[in-house]
Amino acid sequence: MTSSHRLTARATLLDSHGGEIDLEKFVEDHRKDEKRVLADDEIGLVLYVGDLDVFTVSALADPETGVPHPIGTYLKKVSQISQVRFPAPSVRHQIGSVVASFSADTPFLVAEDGRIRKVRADDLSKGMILASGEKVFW
Amino acid sequence: MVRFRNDLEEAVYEAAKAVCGKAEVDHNRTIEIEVAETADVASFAGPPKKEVDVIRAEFSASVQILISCKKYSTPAPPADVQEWAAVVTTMNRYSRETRFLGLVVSPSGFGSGCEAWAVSHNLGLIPPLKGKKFKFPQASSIAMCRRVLGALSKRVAFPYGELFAAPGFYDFVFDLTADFEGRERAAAEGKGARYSMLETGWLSSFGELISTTRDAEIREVVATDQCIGLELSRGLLFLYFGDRVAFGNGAGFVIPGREVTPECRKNIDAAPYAFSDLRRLVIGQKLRSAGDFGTYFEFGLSNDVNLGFYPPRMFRVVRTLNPPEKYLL
Repeated sequence: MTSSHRLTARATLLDSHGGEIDLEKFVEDHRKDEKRVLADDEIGLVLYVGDLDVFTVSALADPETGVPHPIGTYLKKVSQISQVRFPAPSVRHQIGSVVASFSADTPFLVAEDGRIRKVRADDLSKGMILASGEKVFW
Repeated sequence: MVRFRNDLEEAVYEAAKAVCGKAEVDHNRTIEIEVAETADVASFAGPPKKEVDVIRAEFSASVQILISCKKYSTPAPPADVQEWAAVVTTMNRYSRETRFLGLVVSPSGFGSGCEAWAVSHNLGLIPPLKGKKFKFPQASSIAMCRRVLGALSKRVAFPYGELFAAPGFYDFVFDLTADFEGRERAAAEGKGARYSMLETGWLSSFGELISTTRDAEIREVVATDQCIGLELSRGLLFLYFGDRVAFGNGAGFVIPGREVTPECRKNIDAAPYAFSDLRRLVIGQKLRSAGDFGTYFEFGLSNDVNLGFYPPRMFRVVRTLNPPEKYLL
């Protein structure tokens, strides 16, 4: 997944009407279009979908601005979809009111001593406060 | 004749040439800006110039990449990233038509502070900085470079403005290289070495074996003096070598070894079983489940039989219905 996709281990994808996309079918349909296949190798498959109005959704706030989406979830346009052959392990955390699984290498922005630094999902610990203001409970 | 400073530079140059058809490598090359007619670049020494070692490759008439290769025994310092940021920024600011992307390749990694400079100046870093002390071998950095350049050559066929707005290109490179971590870990832990793909020799995994062979029908049982296995529908082949498993598209693949009649066992007490009976039992059945128990491998079949593969080359079948004594083979 793109950096925005790294939000969750199993990202939910939506079309422009808000309908959920069957990821497997979507990938199978579009991998036939060779010009979209940016990479298909030992690491995995990367498809360009920036022109197809695909969005990802997360219950967490915008990782860059910290602004929650008006309907309570954060939506972002997706430019690339990856299928990884050796995915990083998943970790589970409660962040704010949300309990979710994250790829272990998902970077989070953590506020600390008046500064912001990146912390991987597998290094998040209880009590950390994200740049978005959400607290890591576990 | 092209001369290289080291094997890293040569490998990155070859990767760029393979993708773009043409690449240039220059040592102590003085690169100059395209537009030098404004007061802000006027100086007593003339327009800005910079002497650098650079690999330059063209992706379209208006997009070029400038690659800096750093072969050190220690992580590259922030100064190297800062220098490349200055080069690429200036080249872009005073460019007439060409737009430049910057990439720094340092197989020994990047020191503390490099990431912030790369993100803010939109430079790609290979290998990626992932917040863990994880060292990639040089061959992986070169493979990452190949992957990024190949992907970029396709990406520029679509609107690419976002790549030039920081951190668009940094993210693009990160996304294409971050997942090498999983592959390196699998290789380092020996997990991936147990599974490989037949057609490519790529490292693979139990998960990929499942997704590839799920619901495939057994067409033939294979046994040679080197391996045992199954020919499956959809042109698939599964081979068990005792300490490793190879699978995938079997078209054109020559199964190694001389054909033999393998040892076959049945039921929990491992009683002897004829190979012809085993073939009759499993051919035509579908693969429903699988288990890797380290010392042996097992498929669950659609007729409630578990088909086991034991080292060095032995089959064993067991009915999975209860009570076992009522359903003996």
